[in-house]
Amino acid sequence: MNDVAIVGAGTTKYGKHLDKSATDLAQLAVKEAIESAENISIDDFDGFVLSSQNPEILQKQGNSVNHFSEFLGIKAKFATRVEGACVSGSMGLITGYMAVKSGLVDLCLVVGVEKCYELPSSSDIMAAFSYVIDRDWEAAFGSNAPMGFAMFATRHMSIYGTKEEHLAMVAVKNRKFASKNPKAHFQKPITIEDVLNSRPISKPLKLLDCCPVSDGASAIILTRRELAKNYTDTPVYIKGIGQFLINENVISSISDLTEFTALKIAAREAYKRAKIEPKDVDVAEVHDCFTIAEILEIEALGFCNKGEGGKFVEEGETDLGGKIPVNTGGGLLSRGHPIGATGICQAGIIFEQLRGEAPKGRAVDAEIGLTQNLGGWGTSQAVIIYSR
Amino acid sequence: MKIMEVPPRYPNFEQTAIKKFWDSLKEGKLLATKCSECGKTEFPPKIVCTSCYSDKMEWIELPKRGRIYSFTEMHVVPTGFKPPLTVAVVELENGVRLFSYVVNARFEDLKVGDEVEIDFQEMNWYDYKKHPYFVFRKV
Repeated sequence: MNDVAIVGAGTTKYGKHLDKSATDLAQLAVKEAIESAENISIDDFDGFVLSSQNPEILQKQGNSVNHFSEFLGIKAKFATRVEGACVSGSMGLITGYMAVKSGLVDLCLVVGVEKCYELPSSSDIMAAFSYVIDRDWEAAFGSNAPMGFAMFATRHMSIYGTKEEHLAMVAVKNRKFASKNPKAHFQKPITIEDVLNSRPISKPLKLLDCCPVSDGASAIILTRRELAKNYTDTPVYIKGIGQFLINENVISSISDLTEFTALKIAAREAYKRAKIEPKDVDVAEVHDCFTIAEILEIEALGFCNKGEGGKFVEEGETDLGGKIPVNTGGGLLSRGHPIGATGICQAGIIFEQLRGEAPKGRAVDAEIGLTQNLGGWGTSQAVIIYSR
Repeated sequence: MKIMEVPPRYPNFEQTAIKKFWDSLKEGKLLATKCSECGKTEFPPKIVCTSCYSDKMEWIELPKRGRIYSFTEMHVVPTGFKPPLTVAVVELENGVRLFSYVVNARFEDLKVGDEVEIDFQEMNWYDYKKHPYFVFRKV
């Protein structure tokens, strides 16, 4: 089996791109990824993976892998589109990883894209995304993403004494990192008071506890270890992956609303394959779709004990200089969340960190990085571990 | 014209394999399926057991009381719904958990562990028709 390397990464700015289509965004991300490597032209790819959550509803466009190939100019002997709600990006990376690892392809382009701001209002976009929720047993009540994560927040706060201020600290830290990331959706620093005073979305979660819906695209180029040096002097290797899906898709089916049980299992798998422990990770990008999610994730990834995530954040352990800097790209909360692109953007941020290319103010001297991406109510999880 | 809303789906309540569940709601009964081979109770109801894959499922009536396991109050909802909406996950006396509206309490009135009872009322479903469904009422 081949070792798999990342040799290029690119991303658009995340935000509202009223002047660009989904395929425009994908082209721009791929252009940057190709230009970040050496000696690659679009004709060199023989694998293509597209991660996009919702083009059928947002663009009324099906057959998306074929549709995007036209605009990207790509021909491939292996091509597929993956979708698993918000974890689509990491599922795409893992699909590309498997294609390279097995020897099916030599050079694989993984592209994630979502274009939301074609619909006229945020409630229209919310309606479009309520398709991801069980239609019979949840969506019929007007449920949407904040509802489920608020259920975790209420329970975690009740059992472990986590406070709204702890949640706010996550948002403030991630915005501070985003202020150093010109590609982030939101870059203006915020305070704990700003978060606490923002309007309720799904109590106890407030507006600034929630990530935005964004337009954007991100791309990663994968190849096998032996070929990596043809394309860059500083490849980054995928050391291990771990994925887990648990059959608890409806909020009332989740056995424990104080933890991401599936993540504990996915993380264990990834650590085992990478032959490392949580303490070996130098920098992590986690799926902070809501502030409470980051707290549950640092617990499930083993960076701190269960129930102590809030305290760990309060003590600065997830900031620069702490035990494990988390979301140095700004996180979903501030960088933004174009659904299918997010997991791929996370990999790009770790690629930048491990190559020593992250700018001052969010650079970590890191040898080992980790990304974590989730779908559903955290019941579908993917963890990827990277090394220099 | 609304450009996008949660579009209606048209589940055929008269022909679905779990018709008995919908019919019982009209009589003020809340049913789940229980596997007669391994004993696992399933909610949402299923026609095959997800544990032992037996298709020998029987209907059982669920208890009418439970406690709040977690809850939230939604202030931003898709087109077609009117906020605020208080919803909860409730654990019944037999351990089965359900999700629905809490109809007589706001977020600030609730805490984990509060006792609720099951009630029934007409709800707008996404076929834009009224259907009876179960809701929670704080005791």
